[in-house]
Amino acid sequence: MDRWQIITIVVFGYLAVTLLVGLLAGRRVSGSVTGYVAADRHFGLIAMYFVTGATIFSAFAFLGGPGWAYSRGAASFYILSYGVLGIAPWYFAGPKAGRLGRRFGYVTQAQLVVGRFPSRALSLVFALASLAAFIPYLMVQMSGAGIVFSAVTDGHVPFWLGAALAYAVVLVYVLAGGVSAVAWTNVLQGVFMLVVAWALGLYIPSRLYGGIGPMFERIATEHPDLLLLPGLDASGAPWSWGAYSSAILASALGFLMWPHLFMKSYTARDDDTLRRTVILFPTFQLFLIPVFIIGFAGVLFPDPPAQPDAVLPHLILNTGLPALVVGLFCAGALSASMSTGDALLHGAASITVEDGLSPFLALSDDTRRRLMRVLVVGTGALAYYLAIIQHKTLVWLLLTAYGLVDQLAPPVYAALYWRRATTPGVLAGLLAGTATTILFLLRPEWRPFDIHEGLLGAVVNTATLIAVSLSTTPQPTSHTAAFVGGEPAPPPAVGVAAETV
Amino acid sequence: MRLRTARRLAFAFFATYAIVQTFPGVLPFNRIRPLILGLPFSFFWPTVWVAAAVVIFWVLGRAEARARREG
Repeated sequence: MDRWQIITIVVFGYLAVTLLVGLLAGRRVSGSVTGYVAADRHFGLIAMYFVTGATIFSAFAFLGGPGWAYSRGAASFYILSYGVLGIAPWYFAGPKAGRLGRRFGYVTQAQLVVGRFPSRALSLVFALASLAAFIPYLMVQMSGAGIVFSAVTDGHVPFWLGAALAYAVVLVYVLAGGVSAVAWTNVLQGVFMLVVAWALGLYIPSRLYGGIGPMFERIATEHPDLLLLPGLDASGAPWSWGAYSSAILASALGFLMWPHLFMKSYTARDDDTLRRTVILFPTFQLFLIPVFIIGFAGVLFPDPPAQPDAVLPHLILNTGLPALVVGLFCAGALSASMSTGDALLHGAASITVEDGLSPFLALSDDTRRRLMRVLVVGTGALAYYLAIIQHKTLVWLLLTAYGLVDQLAPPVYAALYWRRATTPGVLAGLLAGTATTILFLLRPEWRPFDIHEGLLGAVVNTATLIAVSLSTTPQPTSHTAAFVGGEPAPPPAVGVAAETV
Repeated sequence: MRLRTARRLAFAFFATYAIVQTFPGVLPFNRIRPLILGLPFSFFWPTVWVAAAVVIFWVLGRAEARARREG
């Protein structure tokens, strides 16, 4: 039997196990919308830990991380720095959002914001921004699956087929089991990613260079520019400090605001589970260390990969590892892609129905759940089509996505922590911030000190939010108390009646 | 540790974290040598802060649990 055939069999075995886990998990929750989107608010610590870790670390970390370390050196360390900084606010905001969700029945991020700032326009803007950010992110995941498949099977499984196979499995278990299937497959996928990354990160340098220390000693002599911050840019010239620093801050700000991640606040059983998830998260973050080490191992490798993102599969195929190990690596990389892709698909469908359609149409619980399933297929098909026809403009699309996600932070924090914020203030801020982000995205040469456009947008967003809120009528204390603190208030209306509050 | 103290400590920690990982706070630590655990110092530096965050979060979690037990 050929090497690529053994690898393919291992990968198919892994996909079959994932599918089985997903299908079994989906049978354990109720048939309601809360069951499909928030798993009846029933996740314990193990589920939450892996859901969070595996959702965050995607094909971008598994393939893009080594790619960055290989081609841009120390610039990649920003990815290591921002995660912990980004998740810290969740320790406080997560339990608060979870409590409000249990009390008022929220299952999405926008419902929380719209509950505090009643406006159907706001709900629609949130839904559109989320979708605009999700599609390119989903395309990255599908391309990742395609790249891994075609690389390790010598092209016997082409890019389009690899992406289609992995996402057919995802589609089946997301349709059948909703967030519960996403979670239990993420436990499996998270374990796989951690084991594969650490094993390869320690094995490859010792096999090629006799250890991690000797490897970095050689890089320090031959390419010292790669080991000093802020590293290099995509063309190999030194990166700017403004870009490096603001990449950390903009990513940290947007981190929690990814709607598919924020929504997981509603899946936890209780506050303590959420807090413990945050406490343990940095242990998952350390998974980037072996990932970067693998990328650096490629620097001294005599024969370069076809593209930086393929450095990990390239090293694995050329260090004489047995076919079984290559197959397991492939499963690890697919895990990283699928565990983020499934949350994105599920999140996109839930948000479109709950925030984009429900406020305008009276839909029964049953219809909403059915609509979500139709949209999971629709979103998946659209992202797959886009990934196949044009995976070259992804970097541009992904940058747009981060800038947009940053703009959701001021409304969310205002809803939870600032009594004086008003609906016109939040809407004006959101629109001004988004416009600023798009302006600097289109005209990068206008950015002061090379600062990330999402961060510039967030500054304008916050300033507008404060100025407009202070010049409009404050919300009644009876309304703000439920969100910011103080005396309890009756639940604000969500959905069709929201406009009248 | 009292909850208030723990929360202040966490806040101070993350504020410092943001400063020493970005320009210009990171400059004194932007060096290749000494290699620690085989990693260049510029790589070890963010790593050790991520590890320290585990400890800070753990202290905060304990203070939180104690505050709730005591009502």
